[in-house]
Amino acid sequence: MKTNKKRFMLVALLICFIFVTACAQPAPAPDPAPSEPQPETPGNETEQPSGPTFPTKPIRIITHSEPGGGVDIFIRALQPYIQFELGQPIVIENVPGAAGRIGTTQVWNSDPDGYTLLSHTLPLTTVGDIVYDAEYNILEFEHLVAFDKTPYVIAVKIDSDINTFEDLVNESKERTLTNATSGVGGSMHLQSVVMKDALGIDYADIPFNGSAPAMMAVMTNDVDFAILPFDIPLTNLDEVKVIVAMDTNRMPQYPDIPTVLEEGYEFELISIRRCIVAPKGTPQEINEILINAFEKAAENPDYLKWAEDRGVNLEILTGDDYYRIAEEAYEMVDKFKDIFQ
Amino acid sequence: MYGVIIEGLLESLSITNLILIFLSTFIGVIIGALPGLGPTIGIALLIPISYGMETTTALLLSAGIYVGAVYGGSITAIVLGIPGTPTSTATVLDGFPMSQQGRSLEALAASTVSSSFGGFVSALFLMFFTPMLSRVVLKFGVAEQFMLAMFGLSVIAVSSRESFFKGLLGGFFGLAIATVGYDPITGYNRFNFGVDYLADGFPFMVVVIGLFGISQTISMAEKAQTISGSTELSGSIWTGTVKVFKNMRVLIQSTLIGSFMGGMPGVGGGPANMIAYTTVANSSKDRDSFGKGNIKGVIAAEASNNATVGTALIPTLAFGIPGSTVAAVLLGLLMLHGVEPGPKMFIEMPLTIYTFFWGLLFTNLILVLVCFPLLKYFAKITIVPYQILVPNIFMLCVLGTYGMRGYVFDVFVGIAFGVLGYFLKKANYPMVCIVLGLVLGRLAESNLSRSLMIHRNLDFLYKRPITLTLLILTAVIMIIPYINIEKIKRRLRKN
Repeated sequence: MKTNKKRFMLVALLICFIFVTACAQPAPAPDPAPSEPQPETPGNETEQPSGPTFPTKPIRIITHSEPGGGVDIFIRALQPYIQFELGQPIVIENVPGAAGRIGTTQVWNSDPDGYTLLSHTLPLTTVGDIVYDAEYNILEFEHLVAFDKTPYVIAVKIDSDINTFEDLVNESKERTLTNATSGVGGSMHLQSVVMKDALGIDYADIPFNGSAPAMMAVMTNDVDFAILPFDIPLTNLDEVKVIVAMDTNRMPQYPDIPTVLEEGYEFELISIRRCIVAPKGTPQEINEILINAFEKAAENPDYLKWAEDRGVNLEILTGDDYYRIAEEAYEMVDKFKDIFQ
Repeated sequence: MYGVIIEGLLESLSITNLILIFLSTFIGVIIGALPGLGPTIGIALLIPISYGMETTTALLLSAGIYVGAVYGGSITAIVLGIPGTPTSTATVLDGFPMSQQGRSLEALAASTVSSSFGGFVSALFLMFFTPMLSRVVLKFGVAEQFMLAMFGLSVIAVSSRESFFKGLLGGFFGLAIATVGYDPITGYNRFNFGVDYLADGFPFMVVVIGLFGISQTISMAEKAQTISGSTELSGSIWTGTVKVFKNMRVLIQSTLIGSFMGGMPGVGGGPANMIAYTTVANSSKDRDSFGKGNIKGVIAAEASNNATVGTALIPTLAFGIPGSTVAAVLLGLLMLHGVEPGPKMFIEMPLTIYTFFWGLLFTNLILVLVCFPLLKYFAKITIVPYQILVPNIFMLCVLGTYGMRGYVFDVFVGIAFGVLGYFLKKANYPMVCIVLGLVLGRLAESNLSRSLMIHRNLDFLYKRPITLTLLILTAVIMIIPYINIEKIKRRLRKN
């Protein structure tokens, strides 16, 4: 009787172990089989006859975001459509940590066979490369596709005296204003530094732990204003007000809010872009198959509806167009790298 | 509005939904009980699976996993002395000694009932007071959060009555570990020896599994006996349940602390659990029996951590700002389903939201039904001989450290902290102080820096009403252990 119960317990524990091992990766695919990375064995190459043979096995997309984070949600929403286009399972794996450097480095060191890709956020990985001396060189990745563009807006507390961008510039000359950023070296910080440099104004950048806490800091009256991604504060318009759009055109979400240019100021505007790159040296024909599939997936009507509901500002750039944007971001970060350190 | 609330109630009471809640609670309990896996990973695992589901189904599943996992951590905490989740660290302090006295069944029952109560009340707060409580959240800026962390840290002074200096040293050690990783303000990488795996600091759960779990297996391996010291269990589920309701004051006090802390963005369940425990311990008359198997300790720790579950969703739903890492993952799940969190949600999809709220309420009740039949088996672990137990626990711990982030590096970190913890325990350093320092270090440091950057001097400590209150409370807590009330009374009588 006693031994029976003990045995039951041991079995129960063992089941638990199996469960843990199965769940060791924070985000396995619905189908557990493809979550094992399958190294390209030399034998496989002989199996490649003529014709379009890519992809013949599941593709891993590594994201440097936590499960549920910005890029993670983005790529997971797209996953079924990519899967549909490529006809192979797409496994999304979260490798967060060190502001994206761990995940990005992992892809950098992967085989350039098109079966391991990186889903990343544009200025973040650039900052990792330049400011934090990451192992990878961001511009040497194969640039496949950039999906969207998240420009910034400036938001203040609803009862703030600052009502226009001009107020902000003037006020910053009279007293020391404070601005909440998502963290040192983040793109919100980068935009702030670029703005200060171009307009010759000064204020204190207070780093928070992400853009949501930065918005919270505006709402709790801790800071005077924050440069926030345009899609964040929509729900909080009774707590914060948007005073200026940091984009070339007015945003459909804020038709009454002028752009910085309309307000008579001109400086370089930064946007977050969620992109996909492949390890350096991935064959060109594979890149093309992938680019084609991603582009088609992002144009799927069902996906477009999701993107619209979420307020995602799709702006698809592929190959060289994407590379040009990445290069611009690189130059900008490089110019201001001393400020980050 | 009330029509929708009733409609949500009926929806959540459908057979399929109740079965869903039942199953997901069970899965949640298992996930929580495994060291290293917690509600965050549980819900993260659900994200890819949930894609094809209805939004309501996905939300109910996540409610079950969330509640189940936060509770589940207490099982390992009580039975093995290893917190299964970061939020059940304080449960170990009295829960494990109870197991060592053979009262594991009683402790487990008390934990189940108080978790259920705390969670239920917290879900009520979420359902009826979200607009009101979200106002309160907005009163807590960086200065207030810093003082909240200091208040939590001051508890070190009282939780180390046996040796003040060892407690202090432990606290400083915890704070020191918390400084590893990028500086929250400058972004500079500190003390990481160039290892990118340490850029985010030591993963909290890995350190805790090491300090509590792996060190435990080492000390267990020294002798051949069982956790309870005998082969029979004393106490019953019934005595545990009754004792919870006999300590109504503790139950309500810690539920309120937990609910409050849960609603603060960035504070979350870990600190809530510790702060509720120490507050209760220090306001009780039988202060000295805490840490030696006082059931009030278990009640306080468990009521408070489950009480964070509902309120952590308040900032998430009211502003789209997650109150904890779990809420952040849940927010991601919502967004994947095309739900834009915020006040708009209550207008656009009230039925889904209220079904979820009711689901959360029922999950807390179902928790008792799911767990009571299982408790007997969990309690049996305390009468298994160490020869069988030790290898199994060690394996669980190693998998737990790996399962956190999936990096083998973390396993070695865990083992290193295990060896360290073994010697610290031998030298009678209070583990709780180390963990307190570790849990609150970053919160205190980053918010102090921010407050100084914003206010430029220390005036904010006493010029703001909330920080001033917290400052006074902190001072009181630190002085209390050195005041001998009996002595004062006697002196007063003489005069």
